[in-house]
Amino acid sequence: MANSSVPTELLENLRMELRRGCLIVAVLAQLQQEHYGYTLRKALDDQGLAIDEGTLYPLLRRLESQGLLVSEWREENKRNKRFYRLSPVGEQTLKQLLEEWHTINASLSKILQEA
Amino acid sequence: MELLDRYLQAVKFWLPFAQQKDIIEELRDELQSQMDDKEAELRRPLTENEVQDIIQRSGHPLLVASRYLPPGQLIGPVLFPIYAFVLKMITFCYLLPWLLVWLVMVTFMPSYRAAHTGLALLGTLSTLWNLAFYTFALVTLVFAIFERVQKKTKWLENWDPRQLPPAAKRELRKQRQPRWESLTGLVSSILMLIAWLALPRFSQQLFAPASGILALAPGLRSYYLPILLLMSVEIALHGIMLWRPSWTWLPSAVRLVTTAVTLKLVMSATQFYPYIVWVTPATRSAHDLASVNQLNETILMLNITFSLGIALIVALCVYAGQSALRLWRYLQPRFAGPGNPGALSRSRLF
Repeated sequence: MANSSVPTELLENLRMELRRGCLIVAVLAQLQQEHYGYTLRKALDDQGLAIDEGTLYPLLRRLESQGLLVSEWREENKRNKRFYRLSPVGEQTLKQLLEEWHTINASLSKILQEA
Repeated sequence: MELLDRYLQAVKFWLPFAQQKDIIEELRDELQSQMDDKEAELRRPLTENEVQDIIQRSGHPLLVASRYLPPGQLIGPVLFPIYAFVLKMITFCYLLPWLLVWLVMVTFMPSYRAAHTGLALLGTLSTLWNLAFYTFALVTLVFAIFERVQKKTKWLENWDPRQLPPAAKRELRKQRQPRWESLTGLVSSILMLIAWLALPRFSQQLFAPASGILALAPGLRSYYLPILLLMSVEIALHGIMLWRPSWTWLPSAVRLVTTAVTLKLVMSATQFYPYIVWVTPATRSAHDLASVNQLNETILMLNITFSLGIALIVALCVYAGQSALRLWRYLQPRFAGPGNPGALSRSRLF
């Protein structure tokens, strides 16, 4: 009889693909309030979306270069930290992405109900 | 904090110069914050092992730095399948037959082994390695240029389905070799046969002034008749194809046999070194003898028979594949019959 379990590597790749888009929305949503990298990571982790620093910091830089975030260096607790928040373009983009996410979510729920 | 500094220095090395300072400061703060939190949790300074754990979790310096680098691929996913296909074709259709010929020569030709003893035998493969290396490098370079051009011009996005090649014909039973092709082949083969037959009688006119002075090695003269026979087979083949153009399997099958015979002849011809001799060596000066020796050495060194052997083995592989394919195509409708659509759909694969 054939083994029906999904190979771990395949499942991990699919999970990563599914998470990739969601993480961008989550980061944008979380940055409606100002954060620096470490507190942003902890805030997401507390909400159940763990993200490692190797993924988060390059993502923050990419989103900033795309004009969705703004950042500034400030001193806090005697250390220089880079604080991020949504730019006006980022706010608009988040709104549209959330609408898209709600549409996808509703469609998926409908498909799952029918199945 | 020496370990942290060493780690950040290693990451910094691979980062884009303009962003190095910025990224390193942010990464330092991240790792420092993790260490602060851990110290607060344990209520004591961290040991070196605990610092090492935190740094190790962050990832290898090269991996961490690579995430900040712009995506760069020499050959992207669009062109990669074509690139891999071209390399496979070169490997299987050229390099592998080359290697096979070398193996055949090493195994079955004592004269070749005697001429290249010990490590010199492996040295004869250097041409293959050089050829493989330069071919792969050139193909990679060409595809890397295609990749750059493709990214800039986006030529793959501007396409028209009407420019695609016409679909393969489904009705394979109607396949025929054009009669003009058979007729042209027949005429040219007959002309070649006439020239071959005239060669002994008119060799003085053809090769003068060299004909009275130089000659082929006596052993090579025994190849005259087998070559004549091979030419006759070719004429007969064209004649049959003129009469039965639907026997598309026949040319490749016949050429499979004639090429095998030719290969055998070429391989056995290598034993008749020197290939070119003086007709009257006793009357020749030392300089003349040395000249012809040099000519024979050049022929041997250029591996003319070896190159011909490769070409014939490649041709053998092609004819073997063609014969099998065409015979199958020819026979398949007869076995399948018109009521069996599976036969037709399978034939579409070719």
